[in-house]
Amino acid sequence: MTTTRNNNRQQDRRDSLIKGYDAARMRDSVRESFRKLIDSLEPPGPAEKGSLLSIKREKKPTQM
Amino acid sequence: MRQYQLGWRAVIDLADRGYGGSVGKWLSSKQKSHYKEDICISAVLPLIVSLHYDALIGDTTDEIVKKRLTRAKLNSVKIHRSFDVSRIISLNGDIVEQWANLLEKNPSGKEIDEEWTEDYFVKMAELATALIGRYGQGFYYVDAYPVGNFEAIPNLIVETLSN
Repeated sequence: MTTTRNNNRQQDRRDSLIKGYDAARMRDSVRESFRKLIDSLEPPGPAEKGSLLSIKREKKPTQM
Repeated sequence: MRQYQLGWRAVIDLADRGYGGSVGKWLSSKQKSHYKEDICISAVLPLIVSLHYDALIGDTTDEIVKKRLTRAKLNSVKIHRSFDVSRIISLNGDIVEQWANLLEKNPSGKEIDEEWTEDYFVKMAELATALIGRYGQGFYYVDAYPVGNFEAIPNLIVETLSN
């Protein structure tokens, strides 16, 4: 009985370690793939300041 | 698992500023988080981003700005392509129902005619995707710094980034 409980505890510990390892691996792989992506993007020129998000779009009449 | 959805403003910022923008910094940071995380996009995102760039390119007469927009637009295509199929969230029945609710409630608080742009309806579909999420859990909607005005969208969780 005690042996079974100990085995179960060890198994739980192993599962928990694997889960933690998987989580870290997934997190790292997501971040890593984005780092590679950003490296592949054409960078902004030195004169390009501010954000494109600050450019407001002109409102145009609806065309249906 | 913490699931993020990269919003259209986030993609515009990432495509334009790379590591120099809030989204690039956030994505490339090593977060001391114990959460498992994943980052997805809505299937309608490429359409929104493309329409946005095309409108800005059409509006401007400044050649330098036009060149910058064109560069960013090409970068945004690379960003879309980097997502594998499991991370592109298609519209399903629940999302379409949520989309209809958002359009009906008109969360911008403005008349549709006043707010209407060709991509307004599609943006609502993207936000509906964030609200529904997947595996029964909504997404953390990643926005660029400074954040857009999403206060009118009930229950939307926006991941606020610092610059």
